[in-house]
Amino acid sequence: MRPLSEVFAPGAPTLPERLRTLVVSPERELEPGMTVRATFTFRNQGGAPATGVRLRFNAPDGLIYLVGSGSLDGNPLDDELGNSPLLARAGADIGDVAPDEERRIDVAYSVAGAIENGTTVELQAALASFELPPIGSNVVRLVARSKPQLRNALTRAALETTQHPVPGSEAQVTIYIHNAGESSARDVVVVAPIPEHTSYVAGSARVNGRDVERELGSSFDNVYAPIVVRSLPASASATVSYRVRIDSPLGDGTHIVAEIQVASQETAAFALEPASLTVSAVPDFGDDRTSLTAKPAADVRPGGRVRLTLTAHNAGTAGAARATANFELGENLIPVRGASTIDGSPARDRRKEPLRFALGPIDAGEAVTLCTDAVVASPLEDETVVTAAATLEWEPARDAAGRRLVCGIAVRSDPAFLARRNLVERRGSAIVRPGAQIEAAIVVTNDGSAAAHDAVLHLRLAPELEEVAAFENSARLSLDAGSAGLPHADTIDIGSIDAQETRRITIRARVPSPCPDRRELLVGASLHTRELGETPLREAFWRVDSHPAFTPESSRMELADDSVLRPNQLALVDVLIANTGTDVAHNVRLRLYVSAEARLESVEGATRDKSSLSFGDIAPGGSGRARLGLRLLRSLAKEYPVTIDAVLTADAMLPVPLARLTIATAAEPDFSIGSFRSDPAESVDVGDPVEWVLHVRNGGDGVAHHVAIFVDAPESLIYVPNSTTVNDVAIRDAGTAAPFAAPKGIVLNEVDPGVEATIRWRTVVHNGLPAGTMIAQIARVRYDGEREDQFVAPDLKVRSGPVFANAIAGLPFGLDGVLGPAIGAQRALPEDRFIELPPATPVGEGNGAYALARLTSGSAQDDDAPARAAGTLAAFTPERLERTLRFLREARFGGLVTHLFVVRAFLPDAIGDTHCALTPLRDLLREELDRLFIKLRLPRYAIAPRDIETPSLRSTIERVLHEAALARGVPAEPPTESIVLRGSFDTGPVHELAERLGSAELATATPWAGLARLLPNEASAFARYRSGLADVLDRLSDADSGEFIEELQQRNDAALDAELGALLAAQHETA
Amino acid sequence: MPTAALALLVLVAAALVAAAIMLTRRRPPHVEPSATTSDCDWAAAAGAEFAHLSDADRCDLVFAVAALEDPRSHRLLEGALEDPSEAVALAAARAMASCGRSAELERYLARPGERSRRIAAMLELFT
Repeated sequence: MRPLSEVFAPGAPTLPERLRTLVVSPERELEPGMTVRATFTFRNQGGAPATGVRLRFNAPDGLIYLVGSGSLDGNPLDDELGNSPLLARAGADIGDVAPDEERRIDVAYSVAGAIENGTTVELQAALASFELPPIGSNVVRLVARSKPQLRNALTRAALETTQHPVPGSEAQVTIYIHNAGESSARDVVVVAPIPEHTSYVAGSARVNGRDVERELGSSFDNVYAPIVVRSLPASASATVSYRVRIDSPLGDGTHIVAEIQVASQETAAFALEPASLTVSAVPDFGDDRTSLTAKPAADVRPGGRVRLTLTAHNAGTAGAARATANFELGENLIPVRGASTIDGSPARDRRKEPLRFALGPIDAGEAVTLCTDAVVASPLEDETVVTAAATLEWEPARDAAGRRLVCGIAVRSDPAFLARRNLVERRGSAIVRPGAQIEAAIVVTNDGSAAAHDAVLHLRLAPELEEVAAFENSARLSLDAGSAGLPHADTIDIGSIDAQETRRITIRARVPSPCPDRRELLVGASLHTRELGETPLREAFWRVDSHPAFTPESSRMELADDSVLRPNQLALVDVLIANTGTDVAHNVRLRLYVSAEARLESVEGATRDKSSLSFGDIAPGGSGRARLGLRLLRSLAKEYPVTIDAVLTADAMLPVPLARLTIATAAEPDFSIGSFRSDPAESVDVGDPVEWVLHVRNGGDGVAHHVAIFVDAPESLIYVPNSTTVNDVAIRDAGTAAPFAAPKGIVLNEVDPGVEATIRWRTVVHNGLPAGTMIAQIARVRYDGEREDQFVAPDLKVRSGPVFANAIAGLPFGLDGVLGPAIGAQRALPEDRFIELPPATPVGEGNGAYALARLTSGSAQDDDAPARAAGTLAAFTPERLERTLRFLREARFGGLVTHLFVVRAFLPDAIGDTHCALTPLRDLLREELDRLFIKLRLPRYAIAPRDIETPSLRSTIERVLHEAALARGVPAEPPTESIVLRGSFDTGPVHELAERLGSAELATATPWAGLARLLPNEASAFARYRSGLADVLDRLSDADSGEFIEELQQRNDAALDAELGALLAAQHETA
Repeated sequence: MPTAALALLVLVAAALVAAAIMLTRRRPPHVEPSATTSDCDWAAAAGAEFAHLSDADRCDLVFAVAALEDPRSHRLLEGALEDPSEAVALAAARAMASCGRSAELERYLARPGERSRRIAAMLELFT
């Protein structure tokens, strides 16, 4: 048994019909909106009151309780809120029902507005009490009758475009279907053919936004009357849409109509109001895409080419059947024929109306580009705007059939001064001399298209230029000072220069004098105009050809006084050099060539560099002065004056030899000073020896070429034979007489100034002289054949005493004539004195000299005979040899220079039978090489040519070599005991070397090669060394002074050094 | 390739270094002229322009002065004996010996000291 609350639960079966008192009106069918009234009456058929009676109606779907309609026995049951307890689960409390009491309950429903047709609505009431279970009334079944309504105002069709309906555009057909009925419309069908002049846009069909073609299984336009909605509920709407594309082309005003029909199963097909639109289709060239442009449009130069481009773009919806364009160019634009193109293709060039072009048809959306070229006329003022216009016409058209397009071209016009036509032209030669006039033309040409205003020429002139003037057409222009500080006025105002005008201004100036050589003179200019500012012009250059000049007339050497130059005295020479040229003489040097016998001692007013004087720079017109101090070094014969040659040099100038200056020299020998004395000096006993010493000295300043010494021998003296020596060198007696008693006397040759000669000889006082006899001796020195000086020895007083006896102890007999004071005394002249007398010297081959064992006599023409040779001799005392060896050890400076000291050390004392100038040579060599020896002890001393050889040394060497080449035989043995180093040499090579010396440069190897051949070679060590040294020097015979000195200081010949070492070792043992 | 190029570069560099060493060894030492200078009172006494001569130039000055044989040159030679350079002093001694001015020279050489002893020894070699 179900309680009342559960009897109408959803899904529960209806109650059994136990009480058929439910009456419903209407009885069978319902229609939406209809009121259904139900009345249920019941009676307590029983006997007992039914208590707690409750009644409940069901509320079926599709029926809506009408509030306030429930009543019990006419009394409303609804509460204040309108809720009906009849429909509540617990039902309406009826209260107690007495037996047989009848109660009536009324209730009304409203049929829902939308109820599907055929829907069955069941009404039943249930009654229950405390005593009775729920019982059901009869079930009233009502059938709903309803239908859909598609044909209403909301069901319509629309044809729309998002923009203007133009051919080719898309339009959307939208079908709005609304079911305004009470029930659903099933299988709603739409007949929507694609409108004429359109085409379906594939896949565009949508139903309520949902793609339906997939469901249709075909394209929408291919299905006729498709079911678009299976069920369209009442009051529901559906939207069917699809897009179509308007055909193109299409005539203007074409109507496109969409005719739609809708139907469903409940609704017969009906046509909707046609939807339509009107197509708009005209050609249109009115938008911005149709344009006329010029390129370039700005800053176009006159004469420049401009491309005019007309773009005709049909922005309309219909094609233009014919389009024409006509350019209109002003007078400042010149068309370029044949340069027009249409869409890149050459356009037809018409003789008539050349600027009119047929563009042909232009479809909608298409464009035609017409290009034509024009040239901007020249000249033209700056900032002119040239206008170009083009008229475009087309057909068909609604209103205006043409459009005029205009574009402006901004012209930029300037004057122009081309570099090649604006310049400074030099007139005449580019090489000018100081004082010359130069001329240049400033050419100014305005090649531009506009006039240049406020033109001013700024000149750039070399500051040296003088007398600057400017002319134009023979009229002198005023030059204004432009910039402060410039030496010249440099500004010329020339006003305006029209386009294509040429101006020519002549500039004249004078080159200053003096002026430095190679100075570049510049005449430049720049043109300043208001429009262009500064325009530099090409410059003109001149190069100054200017040189210093010195002439022997203006530059000279002269003696400061008229004094005669004497040996060892200074002669002052003034040197005056004057630059008569037009340029500064740079590095002016005067190279002096002074005779070898004179030496440049001092220089004032110039810088001395060896034999050159440096005056530095001498300006044009300037002069330099120097005073030279020359010292005559050696004795000179009077007939050989000192000469000074000078060559003036300077940079960029040819050497100028100055006039030779000859200085008279005076040199005289003088033997006036000397001494003549005896030993003993005052008195002497008879029979006693007396040694006489005559000391003569050339106290003059000249060489005595021939000196003859005579001594008058008194009878009171007896000459001791072979006792005469000159400087300790014994000389040969003249028969039994002393050599000074001979007619030619003792002859000395080539006695240099300062040279002393000491002549000694011994005599014995005649023992027969009476006491008191005064012995006087007079020596006469006769030289150079003219002069004679006498020396008188102090008187020597003879002592002698009386003697009476003639018997002397020890003698077995008496002897008369016994000398008194000397009795028993030692004999005055011991015997060995005579034994010690040296042999006569010099001796030669012709007077009994030793002959060299290895030499044989023979003529020079004999080919088989050996070469002619001569012997040499060098004598050393052991002490001297030891010193020499130490000297050579100290002289090992490295390089070949060491071997020059060997030549100096072992130079022979005598060569053959000749009396050559070995002594002067030895002295000079010693002087020069000792100096070099000292200098080489300085760190990093670089040998100079004058350290090696001087002109005087050269002349002496040359003389010795010439004499050696003529020598024969061998020298005599030295008079004293000594170490003798002998040698021999072939005179041929020596002669050859002597001959070459005349042309050989100073400080070269040739003289040393000659001297080396004079070295000793008798000993094997000497022979090897001499041969090696000669070879080395011969190899250097072609070397110049610099190379030879380089070899002297740099070259180490190990073999030669080894030979020297062996030589020194051997000599050391000897010493 | 980079390794081979690097090796080639190293070989070339080594060859250049070796060549530079060989050239340095073979090249004779360059002889610089003696540029030692010193201020000497005696040289300055000869003239202001002689005040700053090099040692070698002072040697030349000594030899030039020696040829004059006048009292002033004698004083200069005596002053040159005191020259800082021993070579210059030796030149002066050599010149004085050549001029026969042995008395002044002997006085100088008689001074105790290594320098005078060396100069005396060298003078002996010149004879």
